[in-house]
Amino acid sequence: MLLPYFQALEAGSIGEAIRDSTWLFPFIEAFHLVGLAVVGGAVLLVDFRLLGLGLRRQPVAELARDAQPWLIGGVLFMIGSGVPLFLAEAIKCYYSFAFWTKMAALALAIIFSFTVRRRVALAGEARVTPFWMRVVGATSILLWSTVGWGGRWIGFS
Amino acid sequence: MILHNLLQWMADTPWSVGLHESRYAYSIVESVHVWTLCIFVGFAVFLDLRLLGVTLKGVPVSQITERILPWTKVAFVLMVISGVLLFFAIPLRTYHNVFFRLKAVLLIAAALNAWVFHNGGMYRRLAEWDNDAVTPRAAKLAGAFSLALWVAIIFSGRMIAYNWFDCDKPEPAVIDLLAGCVR
Amino acid sequence: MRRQLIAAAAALLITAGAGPARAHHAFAAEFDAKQPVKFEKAVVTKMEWTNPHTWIHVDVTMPDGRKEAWAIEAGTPNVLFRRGFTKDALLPGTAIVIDGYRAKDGSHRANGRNLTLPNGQTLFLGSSGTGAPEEKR
Repeated sequence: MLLPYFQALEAGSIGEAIRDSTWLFPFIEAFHLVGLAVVGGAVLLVDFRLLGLGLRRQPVAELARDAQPWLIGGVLFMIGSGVPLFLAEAIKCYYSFAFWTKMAALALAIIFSFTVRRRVALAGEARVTPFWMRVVGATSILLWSTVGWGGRWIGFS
Repeated sequence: MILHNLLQWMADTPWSVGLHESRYAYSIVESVHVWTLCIFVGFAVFLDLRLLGVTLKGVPVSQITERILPWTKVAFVLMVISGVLLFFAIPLRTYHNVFFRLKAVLLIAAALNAWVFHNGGMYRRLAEWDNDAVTPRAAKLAGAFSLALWVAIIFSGRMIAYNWFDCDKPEPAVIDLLAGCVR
Repeated sequence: MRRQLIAAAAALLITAGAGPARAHHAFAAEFDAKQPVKFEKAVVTKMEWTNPHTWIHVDVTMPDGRKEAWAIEAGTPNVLFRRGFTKDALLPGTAIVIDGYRAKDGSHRANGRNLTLPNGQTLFLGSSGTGAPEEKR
């Protein structure tokens, strides 16, 4: 199955370097947390608006356009910091149900955000009813929360 | 020494011991602390970016302060409560932790920065620059400081967990001094 | 008002994404995967059932007969209970076999891996999510 690949990834030089270092893992992890705040803000600003909360007077398309580079950048940053963390303990992740949940939810969240949510947000109030906006906003929050819960439970499985 | 004894007394209370040895409560408190951080810092980041004229340039600053900041206040209160509980669970080690001390100093600086911004004359004249993409210099500084401080706070908070400079091991004199190790 | 409460709950949910960083209390920051230790003759002196890590204090009889005091770090109380430990399992005086990885700072501390109780039962001690080597089911 996939186990040999995970073993090879963990044994690679990046994983090795992080395990050998005292401070690298904590440092990268802290960066991962900062990225999380940025993604959280970028996602919630738009999702709140879709739910009819927060910056209600702004057209949802305008908010979505403003937030998009930060969402993309934030997610890339989190992937960039998450991969080294993964490489340091790939085998543990392999055996973790929470890890697979997180990855599946992450893929779904990214796809959803850059297809359905993006189209609905950019189409705006003129073309989408408040009901469907709320459905999209709620779905987005649910998907990203699942990423989060999956991540949290990796450490408690 | 009085403070040390007070913290020792705190550590011996049933509530502190209960939280310290809890099966679920400690994890929940810790989770709340990090979750609310995500909301609070996430939204604060976007206010700061607006003040710096980097994003949300079409949004009046007052819209953000009136409609987004209330959410951050709720998150902040929960962050403080959970943070206090985390301290209360392990008072002595936390008090003597250099990263905790750094975080406390940075938190005070961030609070001061926010207070100065919200109570300054420039903020009272918000209507004059509310819609400007390029905000007054003082606003930009407030935004920049806020960003830098909260990133540093997240870092120092994360490092509290590690025992690199704990007082229960021999430490260089400067660490002893900074951490207030009682030897 | 109700919508705002729902949104608040949702926002809290989404920020549960903050979880992973908290859960990965890095093994490598304090312990060395290249310095395994195994103590065949360890006797529990004190047990700290604390968060974020439990600590098992033992007196170890070394091969040359000397006694050394060691502290073994393990997972949270909840994690240990779920693996089958009970609060009675590690009372002072219990003879155990324990292996793990030494602290990087050279102190008498180790991150625990496997613990064998007097009745022969072996339980995994590790803090899940530490990045310790070869964590297997």
